[in-house]
Amino acid sequence: MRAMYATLLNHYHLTLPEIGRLTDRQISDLYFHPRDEAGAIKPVEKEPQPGTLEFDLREARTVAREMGADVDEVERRVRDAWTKN
Amino acid sequence: MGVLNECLAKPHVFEHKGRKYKVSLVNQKIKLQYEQAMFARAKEAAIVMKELMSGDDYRAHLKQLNDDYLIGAYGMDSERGLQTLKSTWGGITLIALLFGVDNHEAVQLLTERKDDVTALLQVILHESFPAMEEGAEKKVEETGTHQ
Repeated sequence: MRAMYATLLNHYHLTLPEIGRLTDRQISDLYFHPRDEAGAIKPVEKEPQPGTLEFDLREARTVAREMGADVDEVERRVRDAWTKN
Repeated sequence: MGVLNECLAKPHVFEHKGRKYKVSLVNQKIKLQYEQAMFARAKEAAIVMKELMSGDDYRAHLKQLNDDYLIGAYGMDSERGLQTLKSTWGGITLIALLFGVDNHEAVQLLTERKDDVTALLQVILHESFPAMEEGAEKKVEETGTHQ
């Protein structure tokens, strides 16, 4: 918590009264929102739900990487299977 | 209510008997006030117990109290803080701080509008603390622990 306050003071130049008005949620979701290597804010990614193409692709990619298979090929097959269905 | 309100931390308005209460979210200031209220209560308890203790025991007790405060054991999100939040005193104190009233008025509000105050408190806690995984809120209610 101290490190978080220090970051808000030092990096974001907030005053103590300004920090006092923040909730934990604001600090976490806004000031400590995930960023990429360049420091740009990453968009919020919604977890893919079972029964969707995105979910199957994610699962297939994970399995393909673990098995040392060609990820692109596995991905193509999953897309084909979805197209046929 | 929603994402924008969570971002802006705008106070809710609660109307009762013609009076409008601005109800704060649980911000760092409220958390600090809760911590101070907990510590003040511990000091009051120590004073009450003074005559039941020897001088050495009393000094040791005060030192322990001081040490605990310095390491953050009275923080709202500490183990002790979360335990007190489940107590009647903790609930009333939190409502009093959020509504900007004294504990007496908080009890009155709870007595007269229990369901509304409880529902608002749930919204406020949701808006004040980082999003929890699906189902975690139910677990918090069951166990009283806030991961």
